[in-house]
Amino acid sequence: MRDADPRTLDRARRGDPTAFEQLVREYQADVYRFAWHLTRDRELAADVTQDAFLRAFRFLDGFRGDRKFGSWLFSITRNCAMDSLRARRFPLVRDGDHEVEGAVSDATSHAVLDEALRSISHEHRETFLLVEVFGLSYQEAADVLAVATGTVKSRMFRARQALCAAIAEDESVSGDAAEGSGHGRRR
Amino acid sequence: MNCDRAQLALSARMDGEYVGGRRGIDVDSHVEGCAVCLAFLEGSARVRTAVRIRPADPVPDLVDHIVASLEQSPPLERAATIAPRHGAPLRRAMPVAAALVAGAVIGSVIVGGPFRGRDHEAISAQAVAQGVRAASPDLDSFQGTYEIVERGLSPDVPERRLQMRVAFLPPQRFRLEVDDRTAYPSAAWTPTDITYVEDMPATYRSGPTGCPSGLPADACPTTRATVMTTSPYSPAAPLPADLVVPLRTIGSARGIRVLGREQAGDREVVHVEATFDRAAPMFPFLRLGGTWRPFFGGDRVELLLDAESWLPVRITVFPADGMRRRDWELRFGLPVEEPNTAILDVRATSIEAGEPDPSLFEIPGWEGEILDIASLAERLGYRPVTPTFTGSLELATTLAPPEGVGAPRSLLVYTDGLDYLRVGERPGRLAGRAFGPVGPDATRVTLPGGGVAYLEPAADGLGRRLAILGNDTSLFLETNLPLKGLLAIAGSMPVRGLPAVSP
Repeated sequence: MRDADPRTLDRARRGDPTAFEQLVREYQADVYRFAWHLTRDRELAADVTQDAFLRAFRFLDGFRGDRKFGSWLFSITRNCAMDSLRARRFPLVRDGDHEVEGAVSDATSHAVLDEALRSISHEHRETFLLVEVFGLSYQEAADVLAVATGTVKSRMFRARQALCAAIAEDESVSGDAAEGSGHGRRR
Repeated sequence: MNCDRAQLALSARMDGEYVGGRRGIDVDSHVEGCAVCLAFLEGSARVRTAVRIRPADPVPDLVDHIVASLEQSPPLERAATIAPRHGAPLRRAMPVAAALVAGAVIGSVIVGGPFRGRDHEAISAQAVAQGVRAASPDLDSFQGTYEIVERGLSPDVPERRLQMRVAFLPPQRFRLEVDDRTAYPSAAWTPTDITYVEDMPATYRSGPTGCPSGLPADACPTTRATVMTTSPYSPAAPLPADLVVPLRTIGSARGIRVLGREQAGDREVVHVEATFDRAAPMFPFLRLGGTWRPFFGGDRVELLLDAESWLPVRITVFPADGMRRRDWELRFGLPVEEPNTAILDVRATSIEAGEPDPSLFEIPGWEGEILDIASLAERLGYRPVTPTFTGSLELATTLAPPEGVGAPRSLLVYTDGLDYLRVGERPGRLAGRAFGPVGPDATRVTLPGGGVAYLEPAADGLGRRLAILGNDTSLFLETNLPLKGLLAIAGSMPVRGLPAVSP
């Protein structure tokens, strides 16, 4: 994950609204996507994004600069997402859950992958997203999740195992169905 | 070495962690002879590919919402000052007349600026956005001619050549004409000849109907009806404006990439890159009827702006690269298009000195009436509310739009060059926060001077919008000004905005 320009950060810390707007422009897409992956609800993700930036702005003085700004912002986003889900009484996705209650399904998404992602545990999914989708290093992901890097490493391995198994199972089911109906599978 | 340990190491290695030395050798030798671990490796690689090539989920533009919320949070309130962009009574410190613009660009435009392989001098996206924004109110008039080359419409018509003329005269008068000069293979093809006129508040369009989506152009009926439409009031932003000054495309630095300054002929130009979706306002002619090839949202648009006047002098579209583009080509039955071959090239060939003839902007058959504000007040039975501060914008038009549910009863349009502000009003207290172009999801903001308003960012052909819901009247403001300018003007409205009540 890229890091924010230290001069922009410094100006934002001193209360320069243009600098903070620049940070919002740079990070809003990633923050929104992460929030959406955590909540599976577009409206909630937009609220979480807004809350995350507001909190980041309020606590910017407390950002020590010993980690990347993006990782710090992701930690805040994660906390905001948890708070929002709790406030709305949406259960967090746990093992075996296939949907977040009240979530908006995304009809255009890559269905198999999405289904597989939903089928893995919440801890494995958020770790996988941070590392594989958002490109964080193990150390950065560990900072966001407040866990040890070894935990990130083992969660990534378990997430991959589970995703491989889920996709293989889907292919095997689709293959059987296609064989049974006499039609090849479209890709 | 067991499978779990090997796969843990393989997974870490995929993520850039170092797995070497004795352990690395052990892992590699285990995997070589282990079908389960090989399947894990292959499956993980497939998952990675699937994750990385999947279409990006759409991300709403939340910047305006967030910045508006921030401006109300205590730390920013202390630091920020909402200042109008223009000094109030000062008008045009640096007037730019059409003749000057013409002199600035005409020499190099006709030569045609080569695009690639030249030295770039760095310039920030923000500096370009500021330059474009500053040019918008300073433009007195404009008329230019462009050559359009389109490639890939159909195997029978691999290349088309069209000429386009664009004219602008304040306040908010535009004319765009396309003259199709293509030699078609048969009379079954209808040339894409288009005329579009906008003379606020009315618009007029004449041209052939487009071919239904998915059909090749020569599959359409031989004779297609010519469509003529005259609209009494359009809420959309002026359609051809970005061809004159690309305010909607480049007025914000978001989503544009500035490659730098470069020399084109004897002129300096600024080279900008954006996606087709981002640069869509640069291609108003594609939305005015006729037949055009399809474009992929991620296609690369290269834009050359004259470094002095910020006029777009060349706009070229290149196919994007990658799997999503290939899927899209399959869907449209297109051949694979090379990323380095332009599929649309719009090049300014002349910018003419002098003001365009005002008769060019007459709308055929339009008999609408534009009233002064006193006559409008008499007709409506109330005097429309006006802002006490408008920067350099001046009242250009007042009108009473046709009655409709949720429509404003009066509309005032302020302009300065290409900058505009529309103020719509409907007497009475509205339920909910939606009014005119402001939707129910608008964000609540506090106005300078007190009161609340509901803000929506620019999108869908509309500028930034703000609804102020007063006790006995409701207002909306829609503009292409920056957020701070909009808030400064809104803060000067003599109506105190109240929180929305549930519909």
